[in-house]
Parts: sequence; structure tokens; C-alpha cells
Amino acid sequence: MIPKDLRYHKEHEWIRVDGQQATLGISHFAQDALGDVVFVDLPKVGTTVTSNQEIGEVESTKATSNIYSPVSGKVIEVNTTLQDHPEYLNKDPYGQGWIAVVEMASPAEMDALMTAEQYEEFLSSQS
Amino acid sequence: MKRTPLYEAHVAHRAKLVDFSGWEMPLQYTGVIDEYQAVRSKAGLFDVSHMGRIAVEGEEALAFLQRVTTNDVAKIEVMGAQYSMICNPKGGIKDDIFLYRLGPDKFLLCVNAANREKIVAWLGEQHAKENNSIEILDRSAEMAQLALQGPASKAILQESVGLALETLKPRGCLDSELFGAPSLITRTGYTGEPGYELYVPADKALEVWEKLISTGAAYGLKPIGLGARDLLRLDMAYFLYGNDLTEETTPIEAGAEWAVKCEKGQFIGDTVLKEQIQKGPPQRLVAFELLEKAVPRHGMKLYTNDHPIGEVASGNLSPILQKGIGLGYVIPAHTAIGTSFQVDIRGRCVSAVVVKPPFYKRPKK
Repeated sequence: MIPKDLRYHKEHEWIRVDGQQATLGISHFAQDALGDVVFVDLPKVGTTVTSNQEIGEVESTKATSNIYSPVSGKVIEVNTTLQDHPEYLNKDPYGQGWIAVVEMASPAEMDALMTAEQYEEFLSSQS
Repeated sequence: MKRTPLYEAHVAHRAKLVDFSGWEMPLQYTGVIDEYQAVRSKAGLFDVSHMGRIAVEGEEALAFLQRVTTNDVAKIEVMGAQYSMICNPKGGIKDDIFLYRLGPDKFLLCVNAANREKIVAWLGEQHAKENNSIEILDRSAEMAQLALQGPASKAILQESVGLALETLKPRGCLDSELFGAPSLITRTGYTGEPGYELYVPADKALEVWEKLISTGAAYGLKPIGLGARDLLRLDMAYFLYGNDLTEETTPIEAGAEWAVKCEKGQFIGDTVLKEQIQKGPPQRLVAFELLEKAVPRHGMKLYTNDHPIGEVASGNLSPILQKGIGLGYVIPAHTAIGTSFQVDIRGRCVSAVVVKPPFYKRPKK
């Protein structure tokens, strides 16, 4: 449930890096804690974001949770299918449930994010 | 945390458990939406044993209950039930309850989990002021309470009790045996679907639960947690104590005039309630829908043209309507059906319109 090839943020976002582009979403742990997602407020394409900034919201049947960008840059794509299928965040958080793609301004920020092993440790230290 | 007699069943069915008013209760089993859909389309089984069950019995029980509740207790037929409220002297709601009349002088009050001790104490206090022979007994621990709800609930229950349930009318009660356990079956619920509540001896609860689950499997019956229960009740604009009703709000403000019968004679809180009926209350609970997809939540502020007019009491996204829906207290000028206002959703103003409850109406067959 914690893919090895991703990096993780302390607010339970993940990123998958491809060159300068980082795809982001929320982790399996986050979707499980939220419960059934009913609505995703996506960031707008073209928005400039800095790392740790709130860029959107996930609403579940239970609560609202902010989506934070783990990296700085510009939002170049968002997953609009989530508007009709918010359940993708629950069913496939690392695949169909991706939220946005950010063109990274400083890829070095990635080093500040957790590896899969570190994230696993982080989760067990929190429970 | 307190556990109901059905705790083991929740663990066995892999429930996600949460603290609800000091009770370790199932929030969900398979998923809130999945469970919600099961109740709307087939059937669901809920453990509601955390609620309080208080017996009030004796020759003067009716007169006593007339004084401590807002509705007209005399209107309840034997083996019938009534929704009512218990108010403080200022008309504020101490609890909203269901009152079952099991005999001419024999009543059972079903109260909210969070209010049980408060209500037992309050009834005791009121009783102490009177010189009568009624008995007030907290019977919560003796009984478990299950709710069987959904379009298939009747077929499941008929198969389980081996009885035709045609004669059991809405809010009717029936003493019966459920898999050998002497039980009270009532045609009541909190979902807007046809359904029943089952009061069974605590030591038989697990057995009854499992047998209902296996009997109901062929009908699509599923165990349902509190998450789905909250969505189901909000579709119907049914109140949730603590969110929609408090000691600071009155039945008139909540729009429950139909449960306040001033003509029955004096009762606790009646002075304020009569005045509010005549002059209109300072605020009113309205049902509203959002005009764009967003989710209103408890505590969010309501505005018209930047003027604050009230606050959201309950809100969520209705899975069946795919709309944000809510109940909110607003000042009198904004209560008419069709009135629009804005909900401040974390700084974003989302338009809403007042609608006539319930939000969801069952399709007619």
C-alpha cells in the first residue's frame, strides 16, 4: 500500500516524478482515514504553487481534508475525471486517483520528502 | 469506552470503530456509501443499542409524561409510538425522543445516547417534585436495540419471525419472538425507508443479529454503521441532537411545531413555546440545497449580501441526490421556500436555496 517508487509528504500526499514533472495524489493511508470521498475541489491549471501550500480539498462523507502540494512549481494538468468519479481516490489512490501534475520549479525539494521506507516508519510512529 | 452487546459482531464484521458519545460504535463496515446504497435499495441492519431505553410505568405515568414532554401523550394508542421532545423551563430541547406506549400505564422512552444520564436524572428530579407512585427505570443495559431498515426489511423480518406483518402500521409496536428471543418490534426508524426497530434481551442480541444477517443475506441485507445512518437521516431532514437540536434551541425554532401540543395542558417549557408560536421564533431551522457541487458542514456561516443570517447545523453531500444538502438556523426573513443565501465554505461563497424537506422522496411503486 506504499509504492516504493514514490515520495511522500507529511500530510499524506505522494508524488511520482518524471523529469521536471511531478504527479501528486493522496496516499492509501489518507484515503482510508478519510473514508468514502464524495467531492474533490481541484486546483486550477496554471496556478503557481509553493511547497506545503494548500491547493485543493477532498471531501469525504465524514470530513474535509486539504490537499497540499509537496513541491513548488506550476499546476499543468488536473485529473478532471475525479469530478464525476471521486471514488477513484479510494479505489486507486496511486493510479486513477491522481490529482494534479506540477511542473517543478526546484526539483531538489524532492529530497525533503520521505521515501517509501521513511513514510512507512512515519505512519507507524503516528499510530 | 462503553460497548454494546453487539460489539463482538462489529469486530467480526470488520467494522471501523469510533467513539460516539462514549460508546465504541461502528462507523462503517464496507464503506459509508456502499452501506447507504444498501439501505436505499435493499436493506440494512444497525446496532443502535447505545441509545437509552427508559421505562416509565404506573397509574400516573401518562399525566407525568404529559408534563415533561411536548407532544400529546394521550394521543398514543396502546402499542403505538410518538415522536416528542423533552424541554427545559426555557423551552430549550433537552432531548428528542420516541415514546412507546406498551400498555395504558406503561411507557418506554427511547432517548439519545449522549442524553441518557441527563434525561434519567431530569425525570427523577421532576418525579421527586410530585407525590405519585410512578416508577422510572433505566432499562438500557437489559436490552439491545437493532434497526432493520430498507425496502426489503419487511420480507426479511417476516421470514425471521414467521409472521405476516401486514397489520403492523407505521409507529405500531408488536410483542413477538425473534429467533426464540422475546422481543419488541416497532415500525419506526431514522432512514426514510420502510423499517423496524427491534428491542431484544441483551444476552440474545448477538444471536439475533447473526441470524438476521444470515436470513437477510438473500435479500441483500448488510450491517450499517453510523456514517451511513447520518447520511440517511439527513436526506430526510431528520434531526440529530447536538447538531440540529440543543438546550439553546426550541422545538418551534427547529420547525417541530407538530410535536408541540399546547392545548393538552401545562408542560415544562410551554410558556416560551406558546409565545414563540404566537410571535414567531427568533430563528428557524431551514432545509437548503447548494446550487453547485460542494459540501456544507456544521458551523459554517450563512450570508445574504455579506450580512450574516445564520449558521449550518448539519450538512453533507447526499449520495443519491449528488447535491450538497443541509439544515441551518437562520433569522426569520430568510426562511421561505425558494429564498436564496450563501454558505461560506472556507472563504468560498456557495449559493444555496431553501427547500421543503425532505430532500429525498422515495420513488413510488
